[in-house]
Amino acid sequence: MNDDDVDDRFGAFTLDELSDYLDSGRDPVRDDIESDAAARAALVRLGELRAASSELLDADVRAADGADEGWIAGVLASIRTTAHAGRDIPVPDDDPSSTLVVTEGAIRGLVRALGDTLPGVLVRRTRFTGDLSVPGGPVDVEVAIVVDPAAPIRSRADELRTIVAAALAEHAPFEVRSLTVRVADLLAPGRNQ
Amino acid sequence: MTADTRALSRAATEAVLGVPGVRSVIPPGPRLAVLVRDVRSVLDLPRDGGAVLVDEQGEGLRVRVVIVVDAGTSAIGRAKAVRDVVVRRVEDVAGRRPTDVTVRVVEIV
Amino acid sequence: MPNPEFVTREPKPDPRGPTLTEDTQLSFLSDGSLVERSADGDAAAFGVLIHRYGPLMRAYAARILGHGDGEADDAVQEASLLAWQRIDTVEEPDRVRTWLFRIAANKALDRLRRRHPHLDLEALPEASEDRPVDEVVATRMQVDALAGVVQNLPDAQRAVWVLREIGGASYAEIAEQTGLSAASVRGLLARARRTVLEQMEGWR
Repeated sequence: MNDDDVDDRFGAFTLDELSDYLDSGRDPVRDDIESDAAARAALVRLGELRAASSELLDADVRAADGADEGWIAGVLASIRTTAHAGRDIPVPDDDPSSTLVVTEGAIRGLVRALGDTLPGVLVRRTRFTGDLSVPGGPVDVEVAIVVDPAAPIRSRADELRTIVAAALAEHAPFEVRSLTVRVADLLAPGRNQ
Repeated sequence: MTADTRALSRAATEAVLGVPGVRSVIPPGPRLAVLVRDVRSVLDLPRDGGAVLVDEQGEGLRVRVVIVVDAGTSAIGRAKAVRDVVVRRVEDVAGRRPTDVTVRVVEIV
Repeated sequence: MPNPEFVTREPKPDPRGPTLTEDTQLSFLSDGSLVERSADGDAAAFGVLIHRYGPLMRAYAARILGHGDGEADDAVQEASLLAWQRIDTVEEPDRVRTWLFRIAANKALDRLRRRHPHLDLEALPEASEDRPVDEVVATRMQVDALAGVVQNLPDAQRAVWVLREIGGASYAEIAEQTGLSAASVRGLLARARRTVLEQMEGWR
């Protein structure tokens, strides 16, 4: 006998069928199941179990009661010593025996730090488009930001653009062909951590 | 003459740290994007060497420097200044210029 | 002359003030924005993400593993480090919670497979070995009872049940993650559900 087949039936239906029906959110409605008293009773039971299942993790987290801080701190300490350096941006230079590089990661971190100095603005991501391997070659820069909806968005974006342009002129080995600041998302104060 | 690469590494590290605008020197890994739990356990790092990687490569000395620099001065300028200082220091200590120098700025703070 | 052996990157005090301000601002970011900023290279943003979902990831891994000293901790740490490494590959940043759970599940499943090095989970004898139930402070009787019942399922059934009922994974996803056939997944799930239903009847 194939033990994989669940022989228990609730009314005319197997546990499998009822579970699948529940999974589908009872949509489309199946009259054959809904009109079967035993099956309906089983659905109620399964629904309760489903609700309890969805609470399991939250209950576990409450029970752990902050015991996660230890391993989380360990992970964060580990990743702090690594960096997503990104691609190498070569610095134009005359010495053939030298390779001078500023990494994409260095420039991105700089742009983020500049965004952090402006209230109500957070830099989300900086993208460089162009052939970065050509020393001094033209690159398009796009900075995606998140802003506080209560802040003067346009003027903040313009201010960021100004200071990023200055920083790129100072530190980026490429020629900035274009610089765009794009509002990608809004800050949601009151969001729970 | 085989160079004492550890001594060269220490000397080069000291020289790089002396360049204004250099915040720190980091021992280079295969790629910094590779996850290392402890930055001290990076490959190639000699036990009593410095953070600058110096090794003999066929025709000559190869030097690799990874730095964090100040945002107050140009990172491009710092890369060049560090290269110049390293070349001079290696030549002073080893009696010959390195044949291959890489300077990589990974962070601007 | 003072000469450090070498210098590693030290976290420097922020001249603008305590980083608390930054972290607080970061915590107002949506999941999607946190993913993007992490992919941009900001470890602090990733830290907020881990604080947000780490405890749930750990609980999820623990539920799959059933028991084992510190295995859930190890699994979730490995998962977090891998997530950091791959954060720039997330296709749907707003659904990062699911992505993180999937990685945590994979790490837990790896460990589950290591318990049975010469057998695949499918061949595991169905006679369940009684394992001590974790002590869970009961906040709700039924949830606590359910936790105990799930705990005592054989590894293969428990893994599949947790992936489905808690993780919301599809049959195909479960098959892919466990390496089991779709038919085996269905069979294991059917048996797990039957056991859970029967044993929970005693708690009505």
